[in-house]
Amino acid sequence: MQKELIFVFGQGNIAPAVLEHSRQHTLITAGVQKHNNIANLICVNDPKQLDQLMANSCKATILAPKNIYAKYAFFKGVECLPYFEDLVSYKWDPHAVSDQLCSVALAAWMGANTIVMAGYEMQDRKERDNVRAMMTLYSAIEFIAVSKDTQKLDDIKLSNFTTMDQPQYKQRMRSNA
Amino acid sequence: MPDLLANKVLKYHIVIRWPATCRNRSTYILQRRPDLVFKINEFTKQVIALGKIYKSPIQIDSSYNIVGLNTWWGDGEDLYHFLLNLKQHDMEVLPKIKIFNYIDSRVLDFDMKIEKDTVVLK
Repeated sequence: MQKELIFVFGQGNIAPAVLEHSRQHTLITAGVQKHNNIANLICVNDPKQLDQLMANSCKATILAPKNIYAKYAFFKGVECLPYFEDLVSYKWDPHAVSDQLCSVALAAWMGANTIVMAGYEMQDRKERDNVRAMMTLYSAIEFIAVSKDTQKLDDIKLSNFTTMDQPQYKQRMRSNA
Repeated sequence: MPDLLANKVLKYHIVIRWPATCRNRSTYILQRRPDLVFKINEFTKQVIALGKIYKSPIQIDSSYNIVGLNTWWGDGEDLYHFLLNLKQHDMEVLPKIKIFNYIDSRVLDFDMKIEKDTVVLK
């Protein structure tokens, strides 16, 4: 069985190698950003961002939490975020977390074997804790963070989490091919 | 990526209320009131005819609902147009809507409020 690889793009810069590789796989982008036009799915949890996305025509399907989705329920190209059953016992609230984390939750819900996170901003302590919790919960999924500054993510020590810079990522993809 | 939304189904469900005299009638009553059955049938035909003016067909649910006619709509724009022009068609709908979510195949329930020039879902 072919491994399901899903890319999640945050608001940060995306390495060209990752950008190129993402075109062959499922791509989820978080919020309004320049890569929305190449995404398959766009995850938003902010009503203003949804207004902005709906005002611009984009091919991707936009996913939003139910109460935000309600405003555009009669429109094409927008759907409600799925019900994340795995996260219910953790008091999951899509409004209380970042759109990046919503995108990761969506990728995991879609059954990814590997989630490549690029441009994912983890400077915020809360965000790091949330991501770490998500990775711990989905221990069967391999998470790869592609970042220029991999040292910043060294404190996340999990067996299913790897950080890479662009050359390392290229090498990894070459060896997997 | 496989197209998640390839097998589209009818997405929106609303109940169009029967004419006032036909509402809340049990099947027992209807068996004894052919005049009401006639009215219900005429009303159903009227809705079917109305559905034909829209680009995406509407589907009438054959199960009997004492409140009104169960209808499924494929296109949001069509339904929105219909809801804003209810008075013109001399029809009323229940203030509830069900929407099929393609992503996870859930049916979402919303309360619906029809205002002068918009439809608000909550």
